[in-house]
Amino acid sequence: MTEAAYPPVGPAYELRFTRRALGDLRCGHLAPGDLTSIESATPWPAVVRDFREQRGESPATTGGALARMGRGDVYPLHGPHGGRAATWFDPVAGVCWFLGYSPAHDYTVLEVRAANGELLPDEDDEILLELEREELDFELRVRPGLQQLVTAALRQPRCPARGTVGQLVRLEVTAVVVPVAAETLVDLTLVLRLPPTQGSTTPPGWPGPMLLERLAELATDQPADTLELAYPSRVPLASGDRPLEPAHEMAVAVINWQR
Amino acid sequence: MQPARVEVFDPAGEGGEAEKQVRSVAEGRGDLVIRTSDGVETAAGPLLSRAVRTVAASLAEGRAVIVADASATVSPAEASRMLGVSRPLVTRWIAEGLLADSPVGAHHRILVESVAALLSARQRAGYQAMALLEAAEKEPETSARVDGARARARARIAARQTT
Repeated sequence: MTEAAYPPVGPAYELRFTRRALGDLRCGHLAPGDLTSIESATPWPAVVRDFREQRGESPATTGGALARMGRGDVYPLHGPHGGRAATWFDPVAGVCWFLGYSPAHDYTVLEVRAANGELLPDEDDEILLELEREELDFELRVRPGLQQLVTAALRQPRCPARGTVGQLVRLEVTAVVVPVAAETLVDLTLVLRLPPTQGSTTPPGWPGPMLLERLAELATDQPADTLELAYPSRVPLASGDRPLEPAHEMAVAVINWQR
Repeated sequence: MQPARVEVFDPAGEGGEAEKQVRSVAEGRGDLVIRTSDGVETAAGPLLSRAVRTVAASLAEGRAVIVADASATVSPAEASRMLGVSRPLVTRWIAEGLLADSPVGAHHRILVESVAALLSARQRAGYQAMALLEAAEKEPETSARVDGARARARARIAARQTT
């Protein structure tokens, strides 16, 4: 008997927190699907660990749904020191939601929320889910090819590495190494060939006017607001540089990038 | 051959001095020099300096860090716990090539490197989504995407209420 011959059956889903639940856990600043950071940051890590371990195995419990929640598919999750949490599985979205937590030994807070229609994920929770999935689709499509170009450009500074990334965008990446005192910094120039997409439609997660900044982030694995970005009119070459062709090209440069 | 190394470093419970040290390393610039207690100094060089700073940056934010050989592997059950998803979703991601399988016999073994890469990508996507939602009211050029996501979200909520 092997896993390949007998693959796991059951729903394919992810675990997430509603924003109200993140507030309960004092983690309102964290992303709803970032379980690792939530488990590290909350004063009640054990209930997050239980959520990960128990609901990762099955989105419901064998003990039965919670009463007084106005529906029959909200399930209890007990914290190790008496705290109470509730979860709900949405098979359409493929998400098992952590709906809320109370360090008290009862479900009063959650019952009040249920009575007010505030127990299940709200519109912003669902919007974040949609946006996150789009972002992930775009990143998984573009990042591997883009990072290959960056690696090639770093291997041969001032030698442009060109390629069509994710069967989507045509890019030229050039690295110029800048030794500054004890550290080695890199100026990384990304030139995007226009039109930015080959087809007439853009894929999910397409950053629109923020495309250059998003590409800079994916090339460096750093958020754009931590990068020193410039929009050059000239592109480095093996010797000297060349002018950008504004009718056919757009460029962004990451200046003084510390790898 | 030594088994692949996997170590977990958790900042929880460490004192204020450790936090200060970690922050100092995370925020410093230039290559590190490591001085042992017997006074011997060794230049860490760019590779080791970058590795130490990457770990320090996460520890400084209060996040536990797993350091593993790139060749280390985990079972689908372990990968599902690390990623916060169900095991059938791990199996689907293996089939789609998002997780790298290094099978032993007929059993899936997933490269830790690919689990870490997908974990990071999901984290980035989560925070990027939060930034987009926050920016939607201030920056009209981002609101088209948020509007599209809102329409889909409303449709899902409406469908939920009719079932």
